[in-house]
Amino acid sequence: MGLGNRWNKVSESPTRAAASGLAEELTAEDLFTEAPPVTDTALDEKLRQAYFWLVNRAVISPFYDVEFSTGSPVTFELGDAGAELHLPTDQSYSSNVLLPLLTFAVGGKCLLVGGPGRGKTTLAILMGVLAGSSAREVRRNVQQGQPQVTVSDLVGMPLPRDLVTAGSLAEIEIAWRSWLTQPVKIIDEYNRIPTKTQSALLTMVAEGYVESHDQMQSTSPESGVESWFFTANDDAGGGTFPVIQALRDRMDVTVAAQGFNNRFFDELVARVEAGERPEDHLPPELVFDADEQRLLEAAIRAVPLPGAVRRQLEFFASHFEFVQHGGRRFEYRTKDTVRTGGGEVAEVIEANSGADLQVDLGSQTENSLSVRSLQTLIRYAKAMAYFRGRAVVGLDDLAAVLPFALRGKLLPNELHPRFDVGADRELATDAISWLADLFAESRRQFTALGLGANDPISDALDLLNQGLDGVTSAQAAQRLTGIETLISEIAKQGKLYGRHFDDLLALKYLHQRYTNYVSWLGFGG
Amino acid sequence: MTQRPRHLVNESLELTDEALPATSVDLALSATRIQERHGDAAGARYRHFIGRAVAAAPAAGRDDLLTLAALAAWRSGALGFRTDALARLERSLAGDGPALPALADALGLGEGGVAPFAALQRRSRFGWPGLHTPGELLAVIGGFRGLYGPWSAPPVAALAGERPGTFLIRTGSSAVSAGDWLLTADVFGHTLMRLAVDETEHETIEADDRWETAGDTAAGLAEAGAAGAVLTVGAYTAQVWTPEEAR
Repeated sequence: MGLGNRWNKVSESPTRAAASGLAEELTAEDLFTEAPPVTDTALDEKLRQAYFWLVNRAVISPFYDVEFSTGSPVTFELGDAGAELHLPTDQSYSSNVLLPLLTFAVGGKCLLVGGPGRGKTTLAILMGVLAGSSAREVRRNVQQGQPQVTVSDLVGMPLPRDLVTAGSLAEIEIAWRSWLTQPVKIIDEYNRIPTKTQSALLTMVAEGYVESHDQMQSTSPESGVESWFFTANDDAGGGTFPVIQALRDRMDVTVAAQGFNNRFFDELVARVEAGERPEDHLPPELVFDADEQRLLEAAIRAVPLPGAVRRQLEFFASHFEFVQHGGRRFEYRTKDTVRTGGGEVAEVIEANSGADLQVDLGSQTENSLSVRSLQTLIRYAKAMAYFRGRAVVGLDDLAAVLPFALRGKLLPNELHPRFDVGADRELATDAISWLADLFAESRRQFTALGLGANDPISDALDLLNQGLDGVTSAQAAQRLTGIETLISEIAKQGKLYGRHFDDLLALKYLHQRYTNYVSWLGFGG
Repeated sequence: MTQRPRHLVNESLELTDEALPATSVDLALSATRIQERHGDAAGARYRHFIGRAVAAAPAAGRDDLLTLAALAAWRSGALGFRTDALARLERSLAGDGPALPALADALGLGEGGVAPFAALQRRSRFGWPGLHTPGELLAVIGGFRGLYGPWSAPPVAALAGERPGTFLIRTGSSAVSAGDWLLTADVFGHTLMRLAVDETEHETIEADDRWETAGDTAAGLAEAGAAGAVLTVGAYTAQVWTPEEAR
């Protein structure tokens, strides 16, 4: 007997406790209006229902590693090696299902890593089915990475007829592969693809088009929202061919596929006996059509990022660029200067005896955050908030996605004492826990420094942003003095950290703006 | 005994899954909207009430259908419709609206109960024919998360909210596990919203010195002409009672 009926179970609505806005005044007309909020509400609910179907029916993933708690979760200390098990108090999620689903929703790029047979490809295929393709079609369109795969294998080839008769490249018609315009694109084992073919893939992923014989094909599907899923057995540089860094950097999130929990063996046995695959049984009501995909992506982008959360993210990102002996001029004292100059960042960090390595979060990383990484982080934090039915992005939403968005991008400094000895040694290989800890420590420092309540540099930037119209020469001079006072206060502290670097450069920027303004006033009159 | 969240007016309700007829308004859409915003149980109640009401007024025009829909939505627990539904009910009782049998079906009352119900609601959002005795239980709210409720720590204190029918409830006793909730309730339904507590807002909530003296019982704000309902908290639930004699 098949398991058909069991697949059809979709979580009852609502899947989250009622959010705000339910007690507002409504009229009978509201019941009959297909207003945009209905679509939005329905879509975030539908996204959650899809999630619960995936974890409860499709991939059997009883892992709740993306934890949300209000107050303190109940915690158990286990074993003698510092292991802790938390029992979260709010709805928590399984990263290996949630992050791919959010990738589908935002139109991102997800790298699924893990050993063979852990359901990486199945999950990616399920995303394709969620986008409205049949399971058979999605399976057929999965691009298998292997050492012989060529650019033509991937993108298609010119029609042989045209190769003979065409008078110019423009007359050659290309038979493009059909997978190129699918809303969900799956590249299996991408670290087995030859380097040249990886470069062609990079153009598709980065630019959204593909080129062959002077012809161009957009990879955008009907909805305009395309998501990419890559799988790899290894994320540490292994594989048949090393993954080119530019392609690796395009992965918005990296998620490890979890192992199978053997307490759920009965489900496995039932599936073997029934000979069924989950992707063949996705309930039709969970499929997102092209319009819904477009609306979903737009609704996620529209979730506001409040100033208080943005400030915490700014503070976190500020730790990583600066390195004390990275250069001579102040602006060049960065990890990038060292790296592009052929130096070893870890050695330069070690040479700095002035800063406290335990406090200096920047000393734990070999590099800093790229603008692309930060944009990705913001997009996924918005998606997380939207998925949870929140009106705005919260710090907990940001904290939940940050490790997955920065894995493989913010790299640990392996010479840092933290990874060398003591209780934190395991963090050298557990990037997710390390990145989560890094953000938590940054939040603690933010609170300890009282920056939420008193941040004179933000105040100074805000003052400038109000405009210079009507500011007199005397007022500008007063502000210049204020900026110099702030710089001298930092200078008095002796030790210099990453956060000071951004602050000092911002103060220098302000100083320049006011100096130029005062000069301009002088010229004018 | 484990208490389940419920409103007493629904206690003896036997729901029928009424087929929604094709009318000049899209009743199926309205049912979906109630279900989306208030959950499956409210959606089922709405289908029950609107289905029966429309069956009693087969020739109803658009405005009459809107009146019945507003009443059925409110009756099913969507308290956001109360103001509109009540105004429409008053107009209907004055002769400008659906006939009495359809109004009665939309509210789940006998025909004789509609006018007394409207009179009771004019005084209090908790008014309902048959609920006259002070200290009578109106609703049980909340519940332990392990039994599908919202709370993982028991409610420990209650305060009156800023408007009639609203209350603040604090769950959890330690500073780190405390959570504050805003309850908005009427006789048919309620919403329970967790108040955001993050690093910036926590101090404000802590500073609310009313919690210092809050106990397990709070008398809600009075409405014009009637005393407010009373909220008590205990175990993993909160109970709303008619005024006075609350335990």
